[in-house]
Amino acid sequence: MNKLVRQLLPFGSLVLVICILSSLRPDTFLTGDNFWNVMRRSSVNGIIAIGMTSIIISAGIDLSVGSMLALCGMAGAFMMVKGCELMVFPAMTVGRIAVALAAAVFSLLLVRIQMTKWKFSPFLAASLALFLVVLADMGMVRRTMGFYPFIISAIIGIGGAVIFGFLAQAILKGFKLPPFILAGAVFLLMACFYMALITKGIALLTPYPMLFGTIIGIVAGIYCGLLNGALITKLKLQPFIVTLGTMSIFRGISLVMNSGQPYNVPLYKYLGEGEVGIIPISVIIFAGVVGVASFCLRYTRLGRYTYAIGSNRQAAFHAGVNVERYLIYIYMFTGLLVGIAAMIATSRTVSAQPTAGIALELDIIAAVVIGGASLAGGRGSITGTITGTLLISFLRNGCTHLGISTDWQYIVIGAVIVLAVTVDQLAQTKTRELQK
Amino acid sequence: MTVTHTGVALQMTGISKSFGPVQALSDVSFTVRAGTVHALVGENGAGKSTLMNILAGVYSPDSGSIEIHGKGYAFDKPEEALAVGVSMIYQDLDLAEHLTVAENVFLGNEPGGILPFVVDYGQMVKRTAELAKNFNFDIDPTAVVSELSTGNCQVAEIIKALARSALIIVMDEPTSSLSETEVKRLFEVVRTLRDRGLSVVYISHRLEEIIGLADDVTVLRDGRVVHSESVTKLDILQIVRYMVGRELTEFFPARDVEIGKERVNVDNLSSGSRIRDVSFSIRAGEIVGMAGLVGAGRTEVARAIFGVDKRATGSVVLDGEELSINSPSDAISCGIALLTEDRKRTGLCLGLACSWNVTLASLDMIGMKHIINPAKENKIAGDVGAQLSIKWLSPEAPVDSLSGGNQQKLLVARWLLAKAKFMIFDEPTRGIDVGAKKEVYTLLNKLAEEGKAILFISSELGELFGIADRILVMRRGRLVGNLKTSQTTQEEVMHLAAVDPVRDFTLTGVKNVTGVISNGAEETK
Repeated sequence: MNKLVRQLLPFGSLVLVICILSSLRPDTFLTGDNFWNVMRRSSVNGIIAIGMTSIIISAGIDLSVGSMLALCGMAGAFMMVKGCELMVFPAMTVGRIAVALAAAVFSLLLVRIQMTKWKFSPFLAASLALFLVVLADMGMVRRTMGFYPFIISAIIGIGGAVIFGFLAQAILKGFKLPPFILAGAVFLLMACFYMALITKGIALLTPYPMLFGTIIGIVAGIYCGLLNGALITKLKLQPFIVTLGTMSIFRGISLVMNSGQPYNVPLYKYLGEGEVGIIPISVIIFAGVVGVASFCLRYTRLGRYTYAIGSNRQAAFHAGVNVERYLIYIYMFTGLLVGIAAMIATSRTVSAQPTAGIALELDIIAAVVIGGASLAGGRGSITGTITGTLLISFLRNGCTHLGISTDWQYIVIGAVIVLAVTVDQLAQTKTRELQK
Repeated sequence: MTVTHTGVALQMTGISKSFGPVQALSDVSFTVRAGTVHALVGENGAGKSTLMNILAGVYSPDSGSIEIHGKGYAFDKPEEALAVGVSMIYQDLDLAEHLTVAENVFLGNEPGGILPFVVDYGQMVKRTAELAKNFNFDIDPTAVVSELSTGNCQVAEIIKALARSALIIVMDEPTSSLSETEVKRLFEVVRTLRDRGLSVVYISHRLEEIIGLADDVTVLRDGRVVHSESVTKLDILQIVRYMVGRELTEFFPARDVEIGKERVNVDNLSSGSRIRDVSFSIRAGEIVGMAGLVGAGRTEVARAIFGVDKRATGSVVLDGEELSINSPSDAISCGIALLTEDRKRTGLCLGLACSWNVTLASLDMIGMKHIINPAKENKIAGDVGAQLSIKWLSPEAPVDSLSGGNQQKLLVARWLLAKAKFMIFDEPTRGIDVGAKKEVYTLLNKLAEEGKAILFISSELGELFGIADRILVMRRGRLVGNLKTSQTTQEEVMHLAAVDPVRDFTLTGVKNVTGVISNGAEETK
């Protein structure tokens, strides 16, 4: 009962804010256009906030989402602008195949050494071997490419193949092969996939630069999340510190990419401006993300483990939860959502700005916290986060309609954050006392 | 503390308190004489903590009155209780880890220096040292708390209470994480306090301690006082009877289990510098106890088997198959379970639902490898909960609404669902009440009857002798004894656990007498 009241609190204040603003400015605030406008703007923040919710539930934090947004947008737009030029690959020659085969044999030997001597898992051994093959292959076509195309196609090639290899390994595991055979099989599959991806796949996609760029932008987000997650778990660092670092790194990369200049993609309008009926595409994507994420958090093992890790990481570990792996998944999931949001944001302004999303992470964290999540972990919900995001958006929008300057808006929003968290805290102690 | 008190130190009369629909205390009267140790016992959930929290001003009672040395009080805040001399020492100590003993003693109460806002640290150290000396406590005021043993932390808490001129000190389960020697020392401290005219309210589940230490005992059951008398007129069995309200004719259930073939074989297990060359085996249906002093490496053995710590050498064979375990999840899929010693830190996700905690280790085994079906999950959790008679409002209630004993049973439920074949219980009866203890023993027996192999780690020799078929003894990271319970005595086990043959050559003969698997020969090199 009381729990219900607590969950409804942010929602109640959202309704209250909307009612107050509507009565003050019925002519400008309370219009369909304005409503969809706010929703459009919320969808970018909302999608990222959903990722942030899962991270905060797991007792982590991601300060790099703002920079990540810029980086993903830049990566995607770069592909749209320059993709067609760089993807004209030299056809697979006999020489390339020969070198790749030699590298493969060498790598298989290496897999053996890795696994017997250093006790690497089959998948890790295969991935490292693949890395060598890709380097050998890329080395050959290096001269015909520029530096960026080289780096980017290497990342796409390896990344795609690793993800494919991971799936292949999951399936092959069922056959209970000996570890070395498993590693070899996974490796060969990955190598084949890499060749196919680089030569055929990309060639297939080049006629559709917008689609291709969108995919690259989203994949870039997944990579960023992977990097965050891997640093946090493998180096056993605090999420706060790792993402503080990557925040700066991602921002730097997006500035370096085009010497601080934006990429303009005037034709990339669909995600930002497209509509189905009266509903903007971005809002539909937002709704889809909400649905999938709610389902994941409530009804999947990933969601359950997210709560368990956040509530008590040690206990989850002792109950057999592979804490490190799931944390990486959680950060990758957030990266994926940031990638999607970045493409929407890019499309809204038909350009990718390297300075996009500065201080965005604070708005996002605020929305999650207003929605009732605890920074200590183990508590939070998607519905709460959406309410928090909308509350901030409507407040911002309302302030503008009331003629309150952006400077004053900071003060208003800050006060609301503190107020919301105070009320939530009070409600929480009440529930606790009743339980005792 | 030169004041000598006579007569009644604390008089609580007609205290009632309810939380929502739950009547936690009804018409409780509790009298503590000055200069005595008064034991407060009762099963978990009997109302001990509620009563003490009322005394300390954390809760206010619905009705009833509190008198301290004849003066009536009604506390609204803990600070008010503290001001008139009521100090609580909680089970999980309340010290700032990174500060020194002296800083902790005067925390929130620091003596000022010459300048405003400046604290006189020298004065703090001096006064702490004085207090310690007054009461013959051996503690360094400048030591940082995180470097102190648990026993010394307790002493620091006591000095903190004394510095605030405490008249009544409430100690909640002070011995639950102390070693044997530390317990003895704590008892001396408590006796000193009593001799100086203070009153100590002593809450404990270890009844033998109460018999040895307390002057009076009050037994609570279901929020009512069922008995209050001088300890000299009672014995343990009588106290137990008052606590549970029924005869515990046989505290330990009779063991009548067919012991089968060997299931578990641990060979030459080593890990870090904490355990060396530990080998033992367990047969189906057998309960093997593991004794040893705190720090002897018992928990480390469990952790190495379960894949929490990396093991350097050694193998674990279960049902004839050698296992390769690198993490708890490997261990669980091989059919090993570990009930960790600290259920709050490493066992339960306290804020989450009971059912979530029950199924956490076994989502794939109950057919929810990827997608969870909450209705089915609640039913599964409810069934296994009923099987173990766990008392919860519903499987969806958060775990921290359960009593300690029920939380422990919830963990057993988790491993039942995970279909464990080899179960390691690390101190499963710590901090739970007598009735729940008995249920845990019965449960262990039942699990053994089903043919599981059970390793039972405990610091209480009494329960090891009551429940185990064999007892392994650890000392300083090595296995020094492997004895049949029926052919040994508590004295022998204690001796093996505590006496180091390297240091005391006159006792090296012990291992020959008992035919122990001992590494003594290696140690003397």
